[in-house]
Amino acid sequence: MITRFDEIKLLAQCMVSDNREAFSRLVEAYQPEVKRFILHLTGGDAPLTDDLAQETFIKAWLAIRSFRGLSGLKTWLFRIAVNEFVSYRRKRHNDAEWDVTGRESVALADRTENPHRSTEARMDVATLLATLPEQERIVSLLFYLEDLPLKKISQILSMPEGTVKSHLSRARNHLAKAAEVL
Amino acid sequence: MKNQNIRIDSHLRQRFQSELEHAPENPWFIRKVMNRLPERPAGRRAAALVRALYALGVAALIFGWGYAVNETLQHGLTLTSIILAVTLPVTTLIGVAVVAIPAIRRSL
Repeated sequence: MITRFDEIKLLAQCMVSDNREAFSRLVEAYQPEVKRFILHLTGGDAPLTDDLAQETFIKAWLAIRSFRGLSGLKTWLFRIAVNEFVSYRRKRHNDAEWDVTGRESVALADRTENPHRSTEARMDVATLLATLPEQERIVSLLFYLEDLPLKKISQILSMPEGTVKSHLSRARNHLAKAAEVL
Repeated sequence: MKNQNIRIDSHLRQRFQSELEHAPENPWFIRKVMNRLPERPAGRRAAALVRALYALGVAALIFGWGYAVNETLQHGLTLTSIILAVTLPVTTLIGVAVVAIPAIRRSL
């Protein structure tokens, strides 16, 4: 974890002198959160998560001079990650090999045979997430997992706060009902 | 209704954060990212600006030293020449240590 002062210093070094060492420290600091977020967006696909996270940081490096610092670096990185994920999904729209819901259905079937309680609990939340539409899944992860306020989520998704609230409300109802069933 | 939503949010947040795992550790992740970082073409404009500022700094130092020598030769030891005698060597040393030496090192 780096302090706000260190973050500003490292960003300045990246912007002014293309300092790669400074950028690698930013990658080191933010990669666990970015990767966890992408991992659950992709339904637990670790190799895909690695690829999308790499693309996220490369895009951040290329655009770092356009970063104005108004929203915070983490918010900006999450915004890039969401864009990377959405553009990947669009490319693979008709590709049957990648389907979160399908994969999680298999996981749900496995879960019934797994006697370990902790594994079962993990499956439950992951399964619940996989049943949500894409926008609601993204909003849920940002709100519940990353604990971001609605204002920041609206910045990340480039949508009005009211729309984020609607997505969150639908996701909340769906998750609450499904959690009781599961 | 609002209280119920707060309760559900708190419950879901607790479950998400405790049950959803981090991505598996990949010790090569940072190295992979760093190896794939491309050169930034926009850097050329900034580099040109930095070079112009360096040139301006060198010109200001040359002018300052010339002025200081001239001031001392013409008017002897004045308050201005004493101030210049203190500030110019310090500025020159900082310029050499912070800008010139790292630039020479990078070019080697």
